[in-house]
Amino acid sequence: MRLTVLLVRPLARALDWGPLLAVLAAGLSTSAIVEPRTGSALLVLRMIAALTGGAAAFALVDPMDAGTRAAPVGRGRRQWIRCGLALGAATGIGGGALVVVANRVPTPLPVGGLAVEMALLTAIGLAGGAVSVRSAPGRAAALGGLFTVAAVVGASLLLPDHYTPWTGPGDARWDHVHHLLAGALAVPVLVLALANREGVRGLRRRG
Amino acid sequence: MTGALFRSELGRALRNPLLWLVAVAVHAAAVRTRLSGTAAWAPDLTIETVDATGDALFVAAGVLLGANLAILRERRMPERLAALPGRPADRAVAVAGAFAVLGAVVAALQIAAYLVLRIAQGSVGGHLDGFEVACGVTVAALAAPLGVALGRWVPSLVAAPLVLFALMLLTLLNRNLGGFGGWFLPLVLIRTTDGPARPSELHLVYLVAVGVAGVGVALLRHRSRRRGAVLGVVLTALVLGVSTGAAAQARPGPGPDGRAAEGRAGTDCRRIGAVTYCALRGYTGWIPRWAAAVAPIEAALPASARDGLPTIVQHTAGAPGDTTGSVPVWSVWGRGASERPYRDFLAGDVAARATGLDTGERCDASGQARTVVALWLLGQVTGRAAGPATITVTIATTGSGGRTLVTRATPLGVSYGAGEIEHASRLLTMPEAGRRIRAHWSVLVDPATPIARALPLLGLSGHHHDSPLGPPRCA
Repeated sequence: MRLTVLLVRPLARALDWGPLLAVLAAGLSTSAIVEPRTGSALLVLRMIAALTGGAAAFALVDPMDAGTRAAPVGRGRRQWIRCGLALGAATGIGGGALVVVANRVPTPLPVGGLAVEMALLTAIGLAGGAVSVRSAPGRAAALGGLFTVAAVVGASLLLPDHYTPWTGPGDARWDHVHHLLAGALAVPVLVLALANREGVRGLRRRG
Repeated sequence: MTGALFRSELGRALRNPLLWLVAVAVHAAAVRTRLSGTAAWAPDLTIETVDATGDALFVAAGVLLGANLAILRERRMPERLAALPGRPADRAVAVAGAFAVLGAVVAALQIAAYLVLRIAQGSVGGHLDGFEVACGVTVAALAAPLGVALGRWVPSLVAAPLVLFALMLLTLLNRNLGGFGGWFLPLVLIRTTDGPARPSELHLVYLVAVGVAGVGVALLRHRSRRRGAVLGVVLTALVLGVSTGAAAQARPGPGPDGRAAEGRAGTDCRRIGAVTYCALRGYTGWIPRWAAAVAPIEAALPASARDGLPTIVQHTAGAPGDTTGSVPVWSVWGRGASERPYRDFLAGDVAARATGLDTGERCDASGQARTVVALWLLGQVTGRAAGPATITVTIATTGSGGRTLVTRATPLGVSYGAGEIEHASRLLTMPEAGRRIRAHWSVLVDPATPIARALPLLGLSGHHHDSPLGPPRCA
């Protein structure tokens, strides 16, 4: 635990904050100018969440990962701390956008459900990024997060109307769908646990 | 040198699965959302050409990302590229060219696949505008120079995703709400059956100008003796782009709710048998479908009553027009299993009018002989006596999946009960029913003739218990 606390500061300095900051700026400005209607607000918040997921994956890129044979601290712990830091930033972006939009839309937004959607999209981006960062070198590997989010969202849009996860706040299925989405968070978390493990063997050989 | 680089980049781009995945997924989505289930509508090319170019926007997104990543490759592995003889400007042109060609081909294939599929389904309505298709293909091509220019000036991996986010969001908001950049956006996805003509040819010029400007902006990053000429081309392209965009913006356009800002485009009328069908210009391909719903009723009527049949007139949801003396059909017609409600809606209207009833009036027609006759006429089309259930059809759609609906309380509009349905069912099983109805037509359609008096004329046994249903009696 003490080790984790000690590692937070150096890792926070090593982290690539650029993409997350860019998304923060884009997200907040979009939230501030979007038409204050529930439909547009939902669309904007969901797109910001997808983008946040993609940007969070950049936090997982560790240029030294492949080159360091004997690190004093395990890879798992370092990657989880990176995930935690990215998640903190993502919460800031998502929460900020949600507060801005909720204050501009005249009808109250279902904040809880939207938070679940945003958490899920961010987690999917992180999980996709963690897998591709593990298997490919370089910063570009982090784009795997964005591609994963795009693929999952694209696939979800192909679902029949009855099974769509993108319901509106007036929909009778809203609560049910968001319970399921909260449960679905387990999948990216599991993928993260697998991808953050020790031993990037294939990569070591290449490096 | 640039030629060899172009071929090498094209080979890399071809092997990149991103574009192919996007194209296949978007095509699958288009087929699923627009060609199946309750949205299985007859092809409407005016509407669907625009929707298909909207699909090309996703190919364009893939092209922009792909070209951007290909340019940023130079920063990711500079040590491997340093020894290459090609200059950065050559590489920029090669990457832009390769992705532009590939994007145009993929987008053209995707749009063509969708439109060919639709046209092959037959009963095609609407007008295929080649400029719209060209705009869709050009958007996928011009994404390449934009991705390259972005990579040269803002060499960050998140720049392209952020630009895509902004463009996609604006295009979606413009489609759903209007405004948000209008004809300065890559594509305008607002479409109507009967609005003023879209300035698609101006928009094509705008898109080409933006693409040329994109290549020029990418090249301006590099030192070159031709820099002055490139700057001149960029400025010319920008002036052309801004002026064509502004000209397109100045044209009267349809609102986001599908309402035409201008008047009707006119109708084309055809006479089949005793009935005249008036379709909006370009939609005569749907007339045989309407005739299929009306002809069985027409054939069952006595010759004297055929001349009184109403004209079938197509309307847009935004401009319903005057429907007295005519029966309306709308900007949407069903296909396959989804055609049934549309057919029943039209046939119900015609059967009601033929017997002197009015679908627009919410009155009680139970106990009247003409109600049984109208149900029997409707049965000539549907094959059974239709129960008094509400019937709903879509009369207009928006690009975002919104629909305008019309609902009628019963297929005939007026109220009736189980007794009328039972008599009509028995009539439909009697081979001589048509002869009897035609022989006693004027008595049977008289509002004053009660069912009890009509039963012997129709050759039906039994009694009829007349009980009022609530609304005022039909006059």
